[in-house]
Amino acid sequence: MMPMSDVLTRIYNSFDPFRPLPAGDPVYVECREVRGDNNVFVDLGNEIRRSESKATCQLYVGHRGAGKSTELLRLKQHLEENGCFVVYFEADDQDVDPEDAEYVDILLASTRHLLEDLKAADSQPLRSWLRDRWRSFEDLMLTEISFDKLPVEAQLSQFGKLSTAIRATPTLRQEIRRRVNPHTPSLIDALNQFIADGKKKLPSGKTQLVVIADNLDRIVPIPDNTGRTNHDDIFLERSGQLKALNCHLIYTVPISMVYSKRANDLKDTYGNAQVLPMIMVKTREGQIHPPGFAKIKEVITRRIQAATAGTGYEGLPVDQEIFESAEVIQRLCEMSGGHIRELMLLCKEAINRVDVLPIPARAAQRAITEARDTYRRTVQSEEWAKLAGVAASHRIDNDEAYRELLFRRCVLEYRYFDREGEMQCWYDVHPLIRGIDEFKLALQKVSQE
Amino acid sequence: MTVHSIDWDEELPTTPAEEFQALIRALRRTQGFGIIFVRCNDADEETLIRSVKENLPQKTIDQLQLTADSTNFYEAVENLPNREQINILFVRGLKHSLYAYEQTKRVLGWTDSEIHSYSWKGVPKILANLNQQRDRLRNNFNICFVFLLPLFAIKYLIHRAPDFYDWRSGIFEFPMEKEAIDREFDRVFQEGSYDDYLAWTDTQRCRKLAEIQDLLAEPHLSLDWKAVLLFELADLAYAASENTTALSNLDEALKLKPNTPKAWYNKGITLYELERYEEAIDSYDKALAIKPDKDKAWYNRGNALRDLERYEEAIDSYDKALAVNIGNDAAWNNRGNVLRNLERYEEAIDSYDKALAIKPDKDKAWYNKACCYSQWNRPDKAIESLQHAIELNPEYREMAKTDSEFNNIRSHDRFKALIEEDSDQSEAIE
Repeated sequence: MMPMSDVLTRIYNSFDPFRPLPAGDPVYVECREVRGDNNVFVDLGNEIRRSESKATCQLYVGHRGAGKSTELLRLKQHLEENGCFVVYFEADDQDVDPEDAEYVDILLASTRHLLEDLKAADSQPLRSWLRDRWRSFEDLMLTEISFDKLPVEAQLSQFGKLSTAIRATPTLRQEIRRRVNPHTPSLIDALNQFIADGKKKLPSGKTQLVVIADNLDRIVPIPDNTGRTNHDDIFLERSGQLKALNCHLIYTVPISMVYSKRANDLKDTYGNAQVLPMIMVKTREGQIHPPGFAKIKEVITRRIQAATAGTGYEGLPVDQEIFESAEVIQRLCEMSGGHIRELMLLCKEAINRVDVLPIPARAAQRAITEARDTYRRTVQSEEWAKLAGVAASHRIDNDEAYRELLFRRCVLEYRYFDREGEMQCWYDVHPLIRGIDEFKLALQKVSQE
Repeated sequence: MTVHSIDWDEELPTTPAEEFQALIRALRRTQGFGIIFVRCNDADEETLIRSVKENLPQKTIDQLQLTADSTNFYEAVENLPNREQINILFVRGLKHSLYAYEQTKRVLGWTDSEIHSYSWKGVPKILANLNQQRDRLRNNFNICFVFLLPLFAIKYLIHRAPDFYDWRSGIFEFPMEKEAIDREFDRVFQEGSYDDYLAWTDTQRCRKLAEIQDLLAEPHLSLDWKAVLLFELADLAYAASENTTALSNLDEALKLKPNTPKAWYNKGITLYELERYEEAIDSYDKALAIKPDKDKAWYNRGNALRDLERYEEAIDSYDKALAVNIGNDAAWNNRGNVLRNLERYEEAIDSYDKALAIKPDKDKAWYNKACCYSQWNRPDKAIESLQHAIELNPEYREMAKTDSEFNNIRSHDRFKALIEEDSDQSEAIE
């Protein structure tokens, strides 16, 4: 039998907040029925599979850490098994700086990844585009060599260089954008010619080309002087261009975007965005929702099962031997608000407080206190009243203040289908916020009014 | 089956020893990459690192010191000579790069947006780098990064780099011990006064703002000191024209220590700046109820009454100021203005003369006196006073050219001569 301290280490490391699950991972839990019937295969996948040759552009929306990347990786595999060639990239991995992002960055990132993945396609249109503008980029590329003297590979790698420079070199960032911006229509044209040729040369069995740009939801909203944000600019003002690539497109979008004053514009432009809501652990009335609760508990148990496999601790009842009581695990699940990454953090914090199993209530409570502090620091003083309003009405207004609260995960979104089969969408403050004194005070005021 | 019932809403405070044990567990258990945040103050960093090393002899532990000029975190880590061996890397000094940024102020609650338009643009380079490179950090380094930060920097990360903060495997907090608080309080309190704050750069003010706020968040701070720090914070905010913030700092301080005349006085001044005159008068009254001999409070109270056009009461208030301090030339001068508004010219002139007897080179009083004589239709006296004012400060010549106060005497030759005198050529030719 493995020493208990090593088992704890394995359990601790199985609650990983920074790595999405690869498709087919055994610890993955299918939660569609408690996430408003959200199913990437149906919601996003079918649109692509049924569209035949017509290009589609879809938005995938959800709170940070809700599990979007995990779902998209599953979708990727599913599409690949169904005749699609998928170019998937994490936009912020090499190309986009989430703290200062603009549309051009995304276009360049898409170009670079298409070039990398569609090796068979004729890159001539893109190379000519770059050649025609070489003189204006030359000084930025730090190369003395004339474009035509570069080997084809090196010519193409210049796209990557531009993209990387935008992300990694803040001083060059504005300059590159300024120079590329006027030429985006011609870049899109060139890219579409490249895509058209690429589609003809897809590996056998593949008939569709899909681009999935993940992690765009990490882009931090930056308001300008008029109160508009870079989100508005990227996803609305530039939507024509964002949609213009002649293949199937899926972009992840910050959840706050769907609640802007211009939500209708967004809908007109992209159709209904597919939202990945929280796992509904409680009902709107504040009662435990058993199916949601069972799912999120399964998220914990699967990870513990995987971590304890072969240690001699496998198969222990989770709500006695791993956690001290059913109440402890219930409380952690409840406090996560149905948010997967929050759950990972709470479990890690709780495990940090113990040397032996089972994990006692005190450790869980300590984890909750710690997590609550983060939310106390997240909320600005004038926001408590707004949060109290959300707690009372379970609704949000379409204005900047609430978008911010959604972005910071102080307000969470839940969805379910009622008895008539109607989709019901409701909001609640993060359960960790409910225990904060400032919030309680604000809630009292609201109920007195 | 639980026998004891748990109050889950209850906050469960921790002890430093417990918190330290939890940190040790997290560090021991982390295999490979990880991000951990530790809140502690500067002075305790060394001790903390030493204790961690003692407790985890099996781990290779190093530290990386960042400065305000550090920009490339990834490179700094890559260049560490023993990088391959390091299991745990303490990262110190990230806070230094945050002070120069407008948004830090916003995170710290300075939001007088009417006065400043805050920009969220421009991210501290080191933080941008950290955020951009974090996938590479995860993929390329088998290191658990432990960021040692003060509270404000943690708040900053929560607001400005939420996704990066989300990657943490834990946050551990070590509030200051009593002696550390004493030391830090003395240091913060000794360094700088209102006049210094006025001269400081935004970055300097921001640093001080962060330091005071962090100290205010310390659980073991006494209420007296809390009040003192809040007064200091109000001074700092007022110096930065953050009047709304200054006001709320003062209110908070006055809740703790209502018998502080200086705070009531400052509150009055701040309210006056915000053009909330009635409330300003209330605050001056509170200050004067405790300390009736503060002539500046009577004087400023007079100014607020004047702006409300309650002239008789204003005169009364200036009189009170002068009863305490007959040498308050500003009070004599403003009293003169109010009397002039009431067209009590003789008394007004008398009041200006009192100001000028105390301060013969008070150009403002000469100018006001000139206006007064002009309204009173005494051209010679008006011109004589205006001449004094212009001799002391030539800007009054320009002012007199358009000031309607002189409409009565504008056609007078000597007035014309005086305000045209020494004017530039083109005007002279005209």
